[in-house]
Amino acid sequence: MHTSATDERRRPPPQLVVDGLTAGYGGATVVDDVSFTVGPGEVVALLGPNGAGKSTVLKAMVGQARITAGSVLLGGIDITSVRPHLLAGMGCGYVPQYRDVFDELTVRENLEMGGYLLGKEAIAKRIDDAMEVFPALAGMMDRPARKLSGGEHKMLAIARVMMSRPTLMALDEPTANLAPILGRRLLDEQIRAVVRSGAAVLLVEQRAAAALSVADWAYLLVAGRVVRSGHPAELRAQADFAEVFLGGGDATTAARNTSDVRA
Amino acid sequence: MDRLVGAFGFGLVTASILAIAAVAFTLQFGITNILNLAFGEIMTLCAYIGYLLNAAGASVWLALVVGAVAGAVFSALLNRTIYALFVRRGTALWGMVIVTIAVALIMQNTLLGLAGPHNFTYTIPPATTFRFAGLILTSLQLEIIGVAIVAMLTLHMMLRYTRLGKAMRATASDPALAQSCGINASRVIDLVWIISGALCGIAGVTLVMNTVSFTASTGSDFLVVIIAAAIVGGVGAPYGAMLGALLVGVTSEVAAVYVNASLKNVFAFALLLVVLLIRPQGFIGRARVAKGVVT
Repeated sequence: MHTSATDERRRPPPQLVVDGLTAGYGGATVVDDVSFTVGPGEVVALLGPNGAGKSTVLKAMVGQARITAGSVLLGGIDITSVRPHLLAGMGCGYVPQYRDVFDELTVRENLEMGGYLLGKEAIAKRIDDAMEVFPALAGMMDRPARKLSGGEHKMLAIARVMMSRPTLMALDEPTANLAPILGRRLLDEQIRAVVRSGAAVLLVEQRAAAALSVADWAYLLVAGRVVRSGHPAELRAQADFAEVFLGGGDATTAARNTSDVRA
Repeated sequence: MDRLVGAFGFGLVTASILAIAAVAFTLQFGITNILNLAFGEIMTLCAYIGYLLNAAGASVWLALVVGAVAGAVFSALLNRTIYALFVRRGTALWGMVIVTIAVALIMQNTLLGLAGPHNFTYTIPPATTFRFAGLILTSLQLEIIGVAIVAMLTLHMMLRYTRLGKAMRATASDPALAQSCGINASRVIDLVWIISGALCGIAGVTLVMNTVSFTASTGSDFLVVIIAAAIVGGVGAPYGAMLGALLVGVTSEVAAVYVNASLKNVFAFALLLVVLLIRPQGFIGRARVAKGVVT
């Protein structure tokens, strides 16, 4: 793996340590020997072309894909084989790319489910806190989630996870189904708000340029392996970055996603 | 006109029993994703247990309570000991349908073997008859309607306002996402089997309280009507099942009075076909294919 020359020691001590993770579905291995770290208050982008295995890394971490080797440590605790419903209580928050809210529940009920492990008073307080970060949701608390727009939908998904004050927030392609301006606002405003809460943020993105603009550190995943990592500015400066990105997936999509990587 | 109002009254009683059963059936499917075709046999089993108590001198209301407990315990055990094994092995929706049919046949033939091909009748004290606005209903029928109303209101309050009820709806909407919120989906599913099983037991006992006699196949005969009500309402939608039960129950009883009692299920299913032509997802349900959802 090519590692950036930037001194990695400047990064905060890791909250999340993924070490030698090999995972997949059934008998198929999708990601192989993947290692990375995320510190508290840090946004780490996991980039890569379509099919690189980015989402599988997150799914393996939250018990939705089979881990065959390696380990996942959160706050120094091994969560590799912890049952999925216990992870929220251990500080692991996860926003999937699809099916990220309970469509049949109202906005308020979604937030209540995000705070499922809390008491009634704590839930009420955290809903108030969430409304400060996502004021657009305040006027639609009794609306079913299925009736929200794409941007509102994603805001709710993040607000739902924020209810439990996770120490790790893992987001799978949060901008994928949003208009570019909405995606940019989500990264610049809402993801920054999550960081301010002190959580370690692991951001899986196919849109490299957008993700690098908000990330403190980035890893490039191609064909199930981490092939490069570094500070976003350094990765952007590498002449062959777009070419390496292109190496593992759909050329048209990768070209679009990295076209403004030097912007 | 009097005949129509009278038939409507009978329809309300049938709809009440049907509502209890259809809501339980659709709740099971909506949250566990198992279309439990042994539901009718569990109703019959509970009716038999109630009958044994009633025959030993217990009141029908004690029989109802014991039938509910029996339904809850048996349904939870059935899931834990048989259905969950197949689900863990990755048996898909239609594979599970075959498993539930196998369980239904085993149960029905076991009940037939144990109880024989006889008709059984609950001993119920003479009921007072009430007449109002053209309706003629006995005190027992009014009590059955009351049981259904209490059961539906209790379920509504639980699903809408309690932490457990919301966790049930969240699990129905997306089990993996529910687990990522800290909800123990397998415990929620156990509770769904207990609650829906209790309703199944209540439906079984009230069904035979409202009929002259019952046999080992009474529950399975009623299952087709339960499925009709659940589908008309929208599969996986408890509030839809309540509405579906009302429509199917009243339609079939009105048809029984005006046409022929033996044809009442024909009209119930004709209604089903008409509804599905106009609104394939049922009255309350939204278009879904593989995953039932509680709305």
